Amino acid sequence: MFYVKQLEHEIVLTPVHFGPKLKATIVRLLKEEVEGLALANYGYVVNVIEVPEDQIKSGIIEYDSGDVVFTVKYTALLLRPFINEVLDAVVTQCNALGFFAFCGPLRIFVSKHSMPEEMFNGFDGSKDAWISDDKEVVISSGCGVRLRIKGRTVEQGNITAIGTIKDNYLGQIDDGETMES
Amino acid sequence: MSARGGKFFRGGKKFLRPVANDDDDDEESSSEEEEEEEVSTKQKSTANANLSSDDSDEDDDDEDDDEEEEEEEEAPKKRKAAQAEERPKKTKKAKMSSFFDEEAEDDDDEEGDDEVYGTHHDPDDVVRKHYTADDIRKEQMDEEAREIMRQQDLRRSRMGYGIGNQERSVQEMAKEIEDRHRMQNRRVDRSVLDRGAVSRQRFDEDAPGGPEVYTAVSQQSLVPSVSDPSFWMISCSNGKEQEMVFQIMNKCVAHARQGRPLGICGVIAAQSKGRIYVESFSEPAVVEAIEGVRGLLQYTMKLVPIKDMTTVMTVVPKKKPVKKNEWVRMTRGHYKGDLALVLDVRDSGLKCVVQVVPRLDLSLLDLPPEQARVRRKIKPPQKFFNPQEVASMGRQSIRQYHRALDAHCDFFENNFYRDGYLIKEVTVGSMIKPTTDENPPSLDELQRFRRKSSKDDRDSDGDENEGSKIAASLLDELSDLQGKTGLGKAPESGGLLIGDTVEVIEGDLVGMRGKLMSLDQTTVKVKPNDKSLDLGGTGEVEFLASQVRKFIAVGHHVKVMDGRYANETGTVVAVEKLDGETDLTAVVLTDATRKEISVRTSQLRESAEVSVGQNSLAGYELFDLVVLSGGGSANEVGVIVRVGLEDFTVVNNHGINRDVRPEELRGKRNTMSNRAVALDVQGNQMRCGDSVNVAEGPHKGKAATIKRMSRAQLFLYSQTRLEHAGIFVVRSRSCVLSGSRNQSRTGAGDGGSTPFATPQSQSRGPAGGRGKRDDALVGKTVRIQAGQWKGYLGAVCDATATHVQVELHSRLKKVMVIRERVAVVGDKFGATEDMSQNDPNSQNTAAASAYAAAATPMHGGATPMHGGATPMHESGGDEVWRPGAMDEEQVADNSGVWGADTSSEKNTFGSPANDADDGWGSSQAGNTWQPSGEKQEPGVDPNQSAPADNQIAVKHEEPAMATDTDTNNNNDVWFMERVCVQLKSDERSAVIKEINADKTAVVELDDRSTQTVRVDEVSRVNPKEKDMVLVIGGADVGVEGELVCIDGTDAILKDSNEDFKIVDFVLLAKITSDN
Repeated sequence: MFYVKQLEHEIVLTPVHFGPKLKATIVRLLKEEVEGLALANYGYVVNVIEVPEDQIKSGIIEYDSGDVVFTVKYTALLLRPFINEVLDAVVTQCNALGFFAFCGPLRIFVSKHSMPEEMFNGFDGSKDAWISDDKEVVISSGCGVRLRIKGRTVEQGNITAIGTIKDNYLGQIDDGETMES
Repeated sequence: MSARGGKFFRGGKKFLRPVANDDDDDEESSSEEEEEEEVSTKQKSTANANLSSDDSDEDDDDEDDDEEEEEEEEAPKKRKAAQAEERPKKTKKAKMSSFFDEEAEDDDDEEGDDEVYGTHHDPDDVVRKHYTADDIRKEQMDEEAREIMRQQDLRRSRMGYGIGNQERSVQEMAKEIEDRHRMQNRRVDRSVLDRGAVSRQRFDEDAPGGPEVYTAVSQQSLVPSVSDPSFWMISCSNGKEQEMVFQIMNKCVAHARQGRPLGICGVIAAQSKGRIYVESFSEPAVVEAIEGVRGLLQYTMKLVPIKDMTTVMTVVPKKKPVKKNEWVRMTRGHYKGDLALVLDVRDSGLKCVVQVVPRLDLSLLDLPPEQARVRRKIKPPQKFFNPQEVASMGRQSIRQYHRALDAHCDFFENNFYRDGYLIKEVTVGSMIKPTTDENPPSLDELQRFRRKSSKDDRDSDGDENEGSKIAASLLDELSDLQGKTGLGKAPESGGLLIGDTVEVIEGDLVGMRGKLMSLDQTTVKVKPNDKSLDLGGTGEVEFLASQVRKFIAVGHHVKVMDGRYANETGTVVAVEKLDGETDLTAVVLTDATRKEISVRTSQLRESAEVSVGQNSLAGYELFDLVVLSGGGSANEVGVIVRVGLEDFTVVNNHGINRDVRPEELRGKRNTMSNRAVALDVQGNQMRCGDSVNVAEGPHKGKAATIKRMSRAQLFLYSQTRLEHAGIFVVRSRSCVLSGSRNQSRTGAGDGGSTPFATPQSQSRGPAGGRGKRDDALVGKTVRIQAGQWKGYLGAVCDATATHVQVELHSRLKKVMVIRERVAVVGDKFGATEDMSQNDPNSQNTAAASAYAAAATPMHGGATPMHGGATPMHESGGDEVWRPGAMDEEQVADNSGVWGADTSSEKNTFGSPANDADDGWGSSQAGNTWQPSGEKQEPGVDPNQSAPADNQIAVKHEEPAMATDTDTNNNNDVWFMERVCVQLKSDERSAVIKEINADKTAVVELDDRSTQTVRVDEVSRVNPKEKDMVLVIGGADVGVEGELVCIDGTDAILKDSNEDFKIVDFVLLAKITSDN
């Protein structure tokens, strides 16, 4: 789920940057450092929406390095997977154990145990695709699937999730060819 | 037991006393006798093992004899002895023995064969001694009290407490025990001799299993010296050793009876074969002893040197004797390692009859002898013998009587078979060995040993073979044991631990989940997760342990605590209930191996820990870069992708995986890998940890992280790959560096992408504006501008804020130079003088203006930073300057004559938009394929080279190529000497002879006439098979070779090293084979 939240971040600046454009530099550095990062509790920072420059307070000089630490408040657009949330994701890879799908930066693994029964044994190694018993549904790389998040693993700077398509209205929603339209 | 080995000595001893003198003073003689005893008992214990194979019947007989003799011996002595002296000694003896007696009786229960003790002292004795000591007090007590006291005393005495005047004897005992431990001095001290009977008792006591703990020192004191009797070794025939000993013993007895004892101390049949040893102080006595004994070769008599005497008596820790119904293993032949059951022990344990599952190859019978001989070397599989089967082969097995088993058996090819088992008489030691504790019969072996189908066996008559039954019962026992240990742990707590999330599975609150707060034997306290749940204010609910179970949800990261997969970690992908199981089973996708395993939830625990599985073996870990030995090439390296219990799976630098043992690895190269730098297809530097996209080859399109690198091979790791733990191998030139992390990190001078870097890239000033260390300079070729080393070229190997360390090209020397005094002239591959002028790619007006300043003194090399940052400018992602590409662009954009001063052209140079369209960072523009070595051959007006461009561009199949043509970039990489071309005007073929500076070339036509052409006037000739070709693009650019065959779009060529290469066909240019 996307949501907007105000967050804080510490920026360490070397004296080089001190000058009239200090705040602009801080904002730029903040974006560089934070965007794309996965914060354990908040999810991925998709975008830094706003950095109120008036809220950038004066920094604190560190003794040993001479660098200055600024604490910056910013508003960010976050993407956080919630358990039981239903997402649309794009399949990127299929293997014998299931498939990986991406929802933006979030990688979701759907195990074969989390697929409908008719797909449980449906992995076709030659096509790298999961095919249901009646050959109706073919999930392969590039497909869009609707899935439900079942679990979430937070690692350093990265979040991965486990999903399921074993439920009503879940599963393939796009065969990948008409994605663009 | 103990008496066994020694008993004949004891008997013998009495008579063999060298200084035997019955008429001596009693005290003397008895002490003498005791001394003898001391010595003999000691030998007894050593001889014990040697003679342990005596038949027990014989033993008993001996024992009886001994005793009789002993009695006989002692009787006259006692008669002669002065009664006064004798008595106190006896009392003492009795007192002492009362203790030992009790103990001995206890022992008897276990040993069962030492009636000796019992006969010496009857228990009443003991009791009497105790209460007579308390005579006076006893008088005053009534019967009851006396009875109680007596019992108490008895008990005390048993426990070793002394009372009353027994104190003294107890002290003696203590002293003796002390002595016994300290000592075992061979020279028996007098005080011990005084208590002869006691010490004898004591040693009898010792032998069965008494304290055998000798210190090294006390051991040393046991070593024979010159004052001890010597050994003479006499040969006899093998296997007759014991017989000889018995004969000599009998002879001794006989002689002693006649009153002229032999002067020997003992005869030993030690472990050596065909030898016996006679112990004596004098040689003549030995000669006399062996004289007339049949089977002894008297002339072989030889004195054993003192230092070898211990060797004679050394007891090789004897394998425990084989017993009936024991499991053994075969050690020879086809049956080697097979489990066998001992049916009978023969020849006093030297041989035994075993039952084993046959390994018969019936098909051998039909083969001609020479083939059979070969086949016979192959170990046939285990298979039960079936007489019908043999009969159907046209052979007959006959029923024959097996003497040892006392049963009729099938007899076939000189072997007995019963109930399908092979019955074989084998030598213990050489043919079989007992199953040890380390190597007990396994379940599998027992199952194979067990014969289940006894129905169709005519011998069995319905009941199972005895051996099979034993196997079956052992099997049951084992499986029982396993069942117990398996069940033992699980149900008691269901694997619950405090802090676990549990789910209520029974009762009113079924389905409730909560955190386990406390846990005792039967009940657990759970704090519900659902805060809204009102439980009467307690906050915790108590359940029976059986009412809750561990709750593991899909998606949790767990660790397996127990069982087969212990210590694996992974993510739960499914939780399901299997039939017939009370527990839930979770399917866990493991972190390390990316496999799915099924584990009971009770064995799981939520954990954030990520195990790497078996992560190290013999010092090697998963993902280590290792050097492989063996297997052809000397420089084979690989990355460990699996660490097994005994071996590794390694993916080598060719992408082939193989299993290797730790011994085959010749060390790690991780540090080398971490230091290594490789270049991607665009010439970007790549290091370990960088992420890359694979641009070509079988892994094309994949994104991965560089885990390890070895030379030009990258071991890439991708989380989404399952095989080889996500490792695959790609050539560095087939990859494109991706991701912004890397660029922003190394791109301190990267003015192209972020304004952040502008201070440096705008060259505002020399070091003044330099906040970070500018690593961009490291590795560059620089020219020193001033100072002692002015004019020298060198590579920067280190850079600080103010200085750079330059490794001079021309001298083996590193010099420190002030930063301002170096000018970048090229990358680490060499210098290019034009570098400073060839800086066309600034991406915006700001940069352009900076460039415009190139002609100014500031640019003239005095500002190294600018030069250092240059490479970044051109592509916004490309930090290494590539001469080829550079020239290309320059030529393309300048639309002037190459090499001219380009400063005036700057403003016409590709607009920022143009640059952006190029998409350098993400896709490879075609011109990046160019070999750097070809940069010297421009010379044609690029504006007119469009046709040629298009031709190449299309063949590159890269989207970016479109932009190449748009920018009128020419791609005439093939336009070089020796290349075969076709004139577009008249389709005549020609060969380029010489390239001129103005991008024209002299071509030689078929008729040997020459002509000067421009690049657009000729076209390349597509090579055919067997032609000599030059690779003009791709990873193998520059390679010349013979085109072997064309397969679709790929071509296979053989290069000068006879190696075969597969190259895209469009990347080949035909060349002439000569010169």
